[in-house]
Amino acid sequence: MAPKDKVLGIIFPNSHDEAIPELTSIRTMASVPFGGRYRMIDFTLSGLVAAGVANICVVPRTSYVSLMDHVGSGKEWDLARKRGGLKIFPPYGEAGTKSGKGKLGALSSIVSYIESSACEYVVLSDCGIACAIDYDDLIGKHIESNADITIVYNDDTIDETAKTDNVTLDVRNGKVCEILVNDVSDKVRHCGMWVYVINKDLLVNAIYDCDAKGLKDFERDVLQAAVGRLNVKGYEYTGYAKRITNLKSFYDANLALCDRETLTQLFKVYPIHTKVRDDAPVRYAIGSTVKNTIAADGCFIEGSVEGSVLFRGVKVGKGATVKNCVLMQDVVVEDGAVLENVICDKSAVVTKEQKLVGASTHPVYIEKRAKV
Amino acid sequence: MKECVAMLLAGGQGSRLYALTQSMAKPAVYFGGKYRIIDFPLSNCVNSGIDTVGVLTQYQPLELNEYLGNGQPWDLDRMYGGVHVLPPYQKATGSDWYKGTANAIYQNINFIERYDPEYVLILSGDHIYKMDYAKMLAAHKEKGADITIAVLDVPKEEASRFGIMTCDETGRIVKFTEKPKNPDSTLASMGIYIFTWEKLKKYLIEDEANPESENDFGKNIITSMLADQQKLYAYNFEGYWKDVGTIDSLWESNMDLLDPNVPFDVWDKEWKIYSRTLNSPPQYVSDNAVVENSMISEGCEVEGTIDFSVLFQNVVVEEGATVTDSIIMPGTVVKKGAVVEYAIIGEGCTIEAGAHIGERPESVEDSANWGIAVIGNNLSVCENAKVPAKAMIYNDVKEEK
Repeated sequence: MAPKDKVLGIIFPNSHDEAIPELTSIRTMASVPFGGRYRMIDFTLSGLVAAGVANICVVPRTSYVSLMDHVGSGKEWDLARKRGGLKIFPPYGEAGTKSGKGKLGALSSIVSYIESSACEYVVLSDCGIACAIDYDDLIGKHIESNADITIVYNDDTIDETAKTDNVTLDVRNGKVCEILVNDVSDKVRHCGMWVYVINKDLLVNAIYDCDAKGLKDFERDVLQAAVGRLNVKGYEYTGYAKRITNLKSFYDANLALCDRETLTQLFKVYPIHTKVRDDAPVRYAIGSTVKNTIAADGCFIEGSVEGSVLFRGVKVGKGATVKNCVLMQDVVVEDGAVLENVICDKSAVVTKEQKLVGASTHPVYIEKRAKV
Repeated sequence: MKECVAMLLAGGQGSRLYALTQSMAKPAVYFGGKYRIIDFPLSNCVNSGIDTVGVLTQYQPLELNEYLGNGQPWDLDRMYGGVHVLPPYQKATGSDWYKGTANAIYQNINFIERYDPEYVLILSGDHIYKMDYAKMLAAHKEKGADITIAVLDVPKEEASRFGIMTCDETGRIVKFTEKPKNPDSTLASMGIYIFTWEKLKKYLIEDEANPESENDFGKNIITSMLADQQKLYAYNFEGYWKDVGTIDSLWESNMDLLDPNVPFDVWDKEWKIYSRTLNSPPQYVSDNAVVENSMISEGCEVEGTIDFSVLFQNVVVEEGATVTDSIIMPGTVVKKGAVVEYAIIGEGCTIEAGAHIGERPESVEDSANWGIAVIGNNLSVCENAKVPAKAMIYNDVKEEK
């Protein structure tokens, strides 16, 4: 067991925003809806909380209204505390703070907070991967191995769109020998999961150092620069992981959850907490048929649904057909509408008898509150 | 001060729910796929703008105390007011269990006085309904009443099961009879009262001083107020209301949620029913599953057949298992090929493969022998066991030797 009060968690909600502009034009990557009732940040927050880390900073840069609304005081994650708890640091928090871009910009804006914190270790995490990392084990291994930096990775291939946004590692006997930023390989690689454990003093010095030198890229200027000079370890994660690198991978990762085994791998490692909405249970009406689907509370199904993910409060009308779709919160599919390979953002309405068919490789995307 | 404080009577044992209330008070019993009975009056309170609720507990309070906690799920974690659990306690002058509904309030006069309310709303924790108490309070004020009693127009043939109010043309109550044989009115008391606090306090003190009294609201307080010609008014409630004090009524009321013709809607976003929820992943319905006309909650995994049933959180129904016309409470597992029909299964049970629980009414020869089969909480039913209709199971069902 790692000493939890010695750990500070820092979450970067805007990293990889550019991967799915469709979903992040109005929100952060961290608040992208996922898996029927969650937002991407829930996996990181719940994982840290499960490991007993109760001091967590969230450092958004832009479009963070939905994120603030979602995390609130942090009480759903048991993070509304007097000691520690959740702190959100929006940009321009203090007069004179720099609000540079990227992870280093975010870190630089809260460096005095990190410096004055009583922690010894910092866990840095983005929100672009749905996974269930055992942070307790991770932090424990970091301390045990006297590492300066530990980088979490798993074996994966690099998606075409991720070729401009990835980190791969060469790991020998647990030690990171080389870090490649934006690898273009087509092979299975040790892919970084954007989760790092780093000793606090080292992190603070690195932030000041990069600031002074005008360096802007955490992965290149801190991690790559540390290889060979410091004790940089790799931590292999072998559980369920889906990288959200574009709309297609978002779609696939959601549909992949329509499987008991996958649900267990992602949701039964530790409880994944999210904002409670007090919806009634799902109502399956007379004449409805539902197959191979996950649905969250508040749905009302009168039509037929197959191979789909229904978020909270989705309505599927009489005679409507929904196949291989991701329907976010409060989407309404009116009577007789036909949807196949469609992603509907929150509160979209598909009117009566409307037919929307995408290809499984190119799902149709309907934006928030649109009426089709 | 608070204008109106609610006092919720939650001490009832619910003895007619038998195996379901062995270890919890009736208000803590599960209802409607994700709720407990007490969620309904509590949600009504917050939706009506009442933010101070005393919950009077006595029988098996552990589950209820834990469930209510600090009241946060109902927005009742307040700096001033909020939800307070009020068990009987020891006083300098001695101690007493709550002897009756009126005595329970009498023992908590100090609690009520802290908020210096003008009105006190008395509720019970065993009814399912949605009601705007603010409207009832407005009617109470408008009439200048001392007590307003919510009443429901019931069918004449059922009137003898209730406390019946006879009113004059202004709605003033002129007569109250508990379970009359020949009712002269069909207005049944719903057990919801608004009192002007000064009046209630006076009658509670007088009632306590009377050694003959049973310290009951209906039998004693209301009767003496009526005898003293106090201003008692009826408040007509229209809508769904059900006392779920028996196995049959609990089953029926759950099934009412599946009936599109019954005007009771828990999906209404304007009148949400709040509850303390477990964080469970979305429910999963497999390729081979068949689900029709049912209500299923988060965390469930369905691979079998579900028809006309209510499944609470984290219930697993394996392949080939069939659940019809039944209620299954949280965390229960129904294994391969098991059949559950016309049954209520408590939380945390395991129904092993091939077991058969309950029977359809048409398959029982003598209809007097038919009824809902009930399995208590945290029990297991062994492989291929048969639990007949109307059975009430308190212990694990093991293989016969």
